[in-house]
Parts: sequence; C-alpha cells; structure tokens
Amino acid sequence: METEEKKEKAEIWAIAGGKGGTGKSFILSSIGTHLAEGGKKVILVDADLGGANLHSFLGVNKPKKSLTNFFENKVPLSDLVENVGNGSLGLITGNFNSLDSGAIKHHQKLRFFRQIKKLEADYVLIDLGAGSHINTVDTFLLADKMMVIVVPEKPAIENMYEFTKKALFRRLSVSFGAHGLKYLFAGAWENRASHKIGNLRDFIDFLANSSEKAREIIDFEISNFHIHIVINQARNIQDRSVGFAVKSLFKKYLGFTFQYSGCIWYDDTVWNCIRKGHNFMELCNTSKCAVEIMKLTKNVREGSHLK
Amino acid sequence: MRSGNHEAHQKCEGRLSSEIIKMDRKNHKKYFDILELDLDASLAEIRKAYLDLKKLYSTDFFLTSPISDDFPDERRGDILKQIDDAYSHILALLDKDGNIQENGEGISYCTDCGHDQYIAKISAFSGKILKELRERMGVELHEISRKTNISMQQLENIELENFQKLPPAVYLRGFVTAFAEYLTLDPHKAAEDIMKRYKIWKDMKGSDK
Repeated sequence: METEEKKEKAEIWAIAGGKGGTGKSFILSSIGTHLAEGGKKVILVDADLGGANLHSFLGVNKPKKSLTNFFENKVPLSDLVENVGNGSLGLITGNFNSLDSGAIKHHQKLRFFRQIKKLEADYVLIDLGAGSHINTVDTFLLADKMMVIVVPEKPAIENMYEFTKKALFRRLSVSFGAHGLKYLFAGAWENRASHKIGNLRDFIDFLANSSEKAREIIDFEISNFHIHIVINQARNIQDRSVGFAVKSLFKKYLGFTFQYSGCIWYDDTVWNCIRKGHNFMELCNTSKCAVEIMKLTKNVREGSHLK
Repeated sequence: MRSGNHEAHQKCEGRLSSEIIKMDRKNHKKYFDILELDLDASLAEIRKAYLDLKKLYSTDFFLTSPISDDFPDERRGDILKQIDDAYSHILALLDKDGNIQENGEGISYCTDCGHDQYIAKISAFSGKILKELRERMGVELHEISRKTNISMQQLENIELENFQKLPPAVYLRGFVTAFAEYLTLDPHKAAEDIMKRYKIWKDMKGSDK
C-alpha cells in the first residue's frame, strides 16, 4: 500500500519594480535556472502585463499555450507548464494583457491565485513586469518572497518607490477589509484632504490613531512587510550604496525593512549572451554576474543581506 | 605601563565577544535602530553609519518628487535631529574600545545642545572650530586621513592653522573642502572662511620684510 506523502507547498517568489528595462526577467530566469541546476523543481510564471519574454532569456521558443488559455478556456494552470532546459525547470508563459482588468473578473483572479499556490514545485517564480496595475500588485502581495529590482538611476528608483508604496497601501487596505474596518479605511482615504493627510505616512498615522484595533493591524502588517531589493547594473560604489539609501528611506519613512539582497554589477557579457538567444546562467555560469545572481538567490532563500 | 595581567589580553584588542556586547547594549537598542546598526557594531561602524546617514538626509538624494514630497524639510530636520541624538547617546555610553562603561563618562559628545544649532551659531569657520566640531562628532584624524588621502599631519596643521607648513592656496582649499565634507559641514563656507584667514596670514607674512 502506498502512503500519500504530504507535498510541501511551493515557495512563491515574485519580482516587480515599477519600471521596465531594469532586468527583472533576466534576473528571475537566471535565479530559476540556478535553482533548477541545484536540483530544485522550479516553475517560472510570466505574468508581465506588457508582454511575455521570459522564454527569450531561457533560450527557448514561446510556448503555444499561455495564461490566456487559463483565463479564457479554463485550462488548469498545471497543464500550462512547459518544460524548458534540463527537466526540473518549467515555464508558464503569458500574453499581452494576460492580467488586464478588462479581461479578468475578480473570481478568475482568485482562481488564478488558488491554482498558483497549488502548483507542484519547490519554487514558483513570478515575473510581474513593469507597472503597478492592481492585479500586478495583488499577485506581488501573494508571494512568500517579494522582490523589487532597480537600476541605480532616478527614474527607476522613483518608480520602485511608488510601486512599493502602492503595495503597502494595498496590503493595508485588504487587511483592514478582512478585519471589518473597510469603511474606516476607505472613508479616511476619500476624505484625506479634509483630514490634512498629505502622503502615505500621514494616512497611516491617521489610521493608527483612530482606534486600538487599527493600530494593531498597522503595526502587524508593517512589521511583516518584507521586501527584497536588488540593485542591477551597478557600476561603482555609489551605485551599490543606493541599496542602503533606499533601505534607510523606507525604514525612516514608513517603518518597514527592506532586505538588501543583491547588487549585480554591470556586465557586457550578459547583453551579448541574451542577444544570441542563449540562457545566460547556463552558458556563462562562471562570470561575475552569474556568481552574484547565485549569491542573491542564497540571500533571498536564507534571509541574509548585504552590509 | 602594561601590567602583567593576562586576563586583559584575553579580550582581544579590548573588545569583548559579540554576544556580550549585544547583551550590554540591549537597553539602548532604539539608538542603534535609528542609526540602522546591529547591536554589536564597532565604533568605526557607528561613526560611519552616523556620517552616511547625515549625508543622505542632508543632500540632494531627494532631487525630485515623489520622494522629496514625502520628505519635506521639516521631516528631514526631525530625522537629522534624531540621528544626532542617537549618535551622541551612543557615544556617551561607550569607552574608546566600544564597550559600555559603567561610570557614565563615555566619549564626550554634547548631549544637551543640538549639534545643528551649534553649527548654525558658527559665523565663520576656523581651524580651531573644525577641530572642535570634529571632536564633538567623535571623529579621529586618522579616519579622515584614510578617507580623504590627506596626511594626518596636514589635517592637524589645518586645525592649528600652521599655514607655513601647509601647501599653497590652491591645494589648501581642496584639503579644507575635503575635510569639511567628511564632517558633513558646508564645504564652500568652510573653504571660504579658512582661505580668508590664510590670505590674512599671507599678507602679513609678505609685509614682514
């Protein structure tokens, strides 16, 4: 007789960042490749609203089945996994407008989340692309490990800053709703002008002062809001220190802790490799960049951070 | 004079183990949190964190909205004051090896008057004032020397205004700028003020023939 082994839930990582072109797909596909090479079962999910391109970084053709089949034809998510590379790496590709709110009703979104959590793998890595559409943010908040990535340039930093605030706002909104305080939250927000609430900090302070329960919810959610930040395409020490600066800003401003998990130096070989359509981690796994991506993976898995 | 006390040698270089350090400092955790430091940070790490944070919240990292919208001058001022207070509290607790000492006489740093008010009251910089500020901030000359590549001797000469031992104006100005920048002081004002004093010395020297 066979005893059924209780499968452990897959650990879900999500990567977002607000701005396009910062390297999310490259880094996520590289992390996935690295984990798979270490014997882990990994499923990559390409949920980029702007168009799926994870497959290009993996050096394979775009799979025919995609998330569109999930949303429109109710194909189970697990049926959409296409094996790529050495066998323990799988890919679910997306489509332009995969997560667009016009196409997806709330119950479909919930179905999507339910099935993501049930995917059989050690790791499920979700590429959320650029932008802060509510479905992107909600998928981000679903993850066990949330990652944002920036290049050390002002526009990217600002976009990431805005995205992170939106994510925190949404988390608080959902949490207040779950505790029966939906109207307190929504009301405070709608009337923010009359309450002289000028920014997110003011809003959070206002809520915290409105009741003991609200304060407890806020303290809990903020202390459990862990985001991993990655600096990509760093060229010097100042670039590396952007990670610490961002960490400080959020700590001082909103009170939560960014984990500075990785600083990936700019490396020309990456671009050359991608241009030729190869999987960078497979081809150049002794390059400096590859080593840093391995370190980044370790840091996110173990919760350690750069000093 | 070194005594033959071998127990003292067991605390390598005067520092206790990390665990003991953390336990000693636990009651003062909130100050370490403000400086975003681990509890077992060394004195050098504490100073570096202080200066880095002062720089971050004083300069134009916040060049455009939305970040600058969330950090109006008032808030930045509050944060800077918090950083100063945390630093002065921590220094007051520690001896020169970074251990908590019992008698309440740590590295002296003004805990009553705010550092920023002190600076605001300065009408003109001088070598003496640079030295005073450096000591108030608990910064050693060798640290500045390492970071700016200016020899300790020259930094000392600037503080003592030994102009005859310092290089010509065009180099001196650069030294003073770097010195002031390291201490997160206004480098232009410091350079202007001290070069004025240099000029006075030079003119007087020229007239003694």
